[in-house]
Amino acid sequence: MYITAHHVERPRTNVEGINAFCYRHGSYTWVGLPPAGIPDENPGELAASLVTIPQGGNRVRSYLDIIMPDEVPWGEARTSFITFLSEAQGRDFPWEGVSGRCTFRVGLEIGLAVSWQHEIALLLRAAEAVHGRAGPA
Amino acid sequence: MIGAARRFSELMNDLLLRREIAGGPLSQDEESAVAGELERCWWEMTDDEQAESESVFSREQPPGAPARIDQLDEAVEQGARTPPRRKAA
Repeated sequence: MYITAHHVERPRTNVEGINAFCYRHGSYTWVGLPPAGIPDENPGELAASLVTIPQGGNRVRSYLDIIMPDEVPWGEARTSFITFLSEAQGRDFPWEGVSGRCTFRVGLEIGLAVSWQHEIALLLRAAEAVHGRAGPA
Repeated sequence: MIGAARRFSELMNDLLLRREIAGGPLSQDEESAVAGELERCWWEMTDDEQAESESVFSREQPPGAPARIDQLDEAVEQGARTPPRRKAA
């Protein structure tokens, strides 16, 4: 499963919002780091999306990626994320790491760094919502 | 069993995220439940661990970040097998 939430800004109008997507890999599972190519070349199949800003050509200001086997429940992913966050904070963005059965990537631009906890909370909330919309594995 | 410093950090991050999502403090019961465990962890930490935690959570120095991410989003439809983001040309 690949869940991503990103904060985007529309060109010209500068309208901003968070879009989120949940892709499934079905019975294809793994332990630790995801197999090569997941998610950048093989994101899986898009199962659910939450779109607040029309997609296509928007500048990405921040993102949260969660890569994990489909069977991992949201509660486990959230707990793993808190552990990841505790290990990553203090470092410069972007952050990337594995915690439990989940791999996380977090990036944001300098203009959002002062309020990084707020930004990450918004991204995490969107990720949770789109995961819920995708339904059980 | 995890160390007090790591547990303290996880509790703080969880609390701060929950507050951010709630848009303010949690209920008194929720805040009190966490405060008790935070205090227990705090007094189990070494002086160095306490100093490091204070530095991390004081927000005096936000993490460094690039000026721009240099990625653009892509339109994707249900069932798509392409990612919703790509590097800007």
